[in-house]
Amino acid sequence: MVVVVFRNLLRFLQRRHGERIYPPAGADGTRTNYGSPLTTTAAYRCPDKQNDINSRALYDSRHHHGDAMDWSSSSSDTIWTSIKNAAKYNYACVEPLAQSTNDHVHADWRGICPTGW
Amino acid sequence: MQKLLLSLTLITLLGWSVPGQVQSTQTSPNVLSELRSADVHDRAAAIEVLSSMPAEAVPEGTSRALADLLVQETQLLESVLRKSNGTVGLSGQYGESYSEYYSEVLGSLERLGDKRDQRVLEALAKASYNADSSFAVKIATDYGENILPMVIDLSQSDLRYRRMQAIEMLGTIVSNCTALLPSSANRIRAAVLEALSDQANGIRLVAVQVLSRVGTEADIPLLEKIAKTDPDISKMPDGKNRYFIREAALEAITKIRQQSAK
Repeated sequence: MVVVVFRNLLRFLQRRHGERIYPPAGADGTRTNYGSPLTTTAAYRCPDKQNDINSRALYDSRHHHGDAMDWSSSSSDTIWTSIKNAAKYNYACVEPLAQSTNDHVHADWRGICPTGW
Repeated sequence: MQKLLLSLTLITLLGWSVPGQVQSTQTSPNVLSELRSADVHDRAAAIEVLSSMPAEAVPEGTSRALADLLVQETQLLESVLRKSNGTVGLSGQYGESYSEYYSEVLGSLERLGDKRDQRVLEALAKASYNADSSFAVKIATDYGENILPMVIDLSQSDLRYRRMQAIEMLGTIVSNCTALLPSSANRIRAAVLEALSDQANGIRLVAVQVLSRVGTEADIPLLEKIAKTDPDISKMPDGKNRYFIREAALEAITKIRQQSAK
C-alpha cells in the first residue's frame, strides 16, 4: 500500500515537472516481441537539450514528454521493419520509414497517433 | 478570489498560448494564402486553424489547396531522400517536428479533402505513411479499387522506401477492400510475387509479410525456399545473427496452413 502510494506520488511529481525517468510503457514489450536486444539512441530529453537540438521546432517533441524512444536500426530495412512491427504490436505510434529513414525507429506512446503513423 | 478572477480574465484577453503548440491567430480568409506561404511556420499555423474549424466553415478551395500542399511536401520528402541516397529523411534534414507537421497536412487533407477529386485521392495514396496505420486501413477500405493504380505506380518508384510502403499497402488494400474486383486482386498478387525476388531486402520482407495474408497453399513451396535460402542476415547487438526474411517466411507458411485448415 505504502509502496503504491509512494510510486503514484513520484509519477505525479514527475509528470508535473514534465519528466518521466522510466522508459515508456510498451518499450519493454517491444523488446520482448522483437526477440533481440535493442540499442536505444534517444529517450527522454530535458527542455534545454531539446532546445539545443531545434529551438524553432514547429511542435513539441515527444522526447521532451518522456514517452518516446529512438532505437538504432543499423541502416537495415529489415531491422527497421522488424522493430516497427514489434513496437506497433505494443500500440506505439511509429514515424514512417520514408521520414525517419532506416537509421533509427522513432516510437512513442502518446495515445492518439499522428495521421499515417 | 477577486485576484484570481482578474488574472484569469487577463490571461483570456491577452490570449492563452500553450507552449509547443503552433499559434492560431489567423482568420479564415488568410488560411488559403497561408497554406501557400514559403514559410513552413505560416503553413503549420494555417493547418492548425483548419484543424479547429468546423467542416462547414472551411473556405472554398481548401481541398485543392491542401492536396497541392501535400503533393509539394511529399516531393520535398522524396527530394531529400534522393539527395542523401536514402540516409537522411525529413526529420533528419529539417528537425523531427517537420515529420509531425507532414502528418498534420496528411490528416487535414484526409478530414477536409473531397475524395471524389482524383487529385485529392492521389495525394493521399502517394503520401508517406505506414501501410498498417489506421489512415491506410481507412483509405484502403473505402477507396481501395480507386487508389490501386496509384499504389501500383508507387511500387515502381526509384526510391526503395516508397516501394516498400507501396507493396505493404497492396496487402492492406487486398485485406480490407471488400469491393475489390478479382482482376485487381490478381494484379496485386502478381506485384507481390514479383517483389519477392527484389534485390532490396526490405522489399522482400514486406512482400513475404503480405503473402502471409493473401497467399494460398500453392505459395508454400516458394515460401519454403525463401525460408531456407534468403541471403538477408542481420547482426544483433548480442552478437547473434537474425534472418528476418526467413523468419517471416516460416510465419507465413504457418499462417497460410492455419487459414487453409479453417
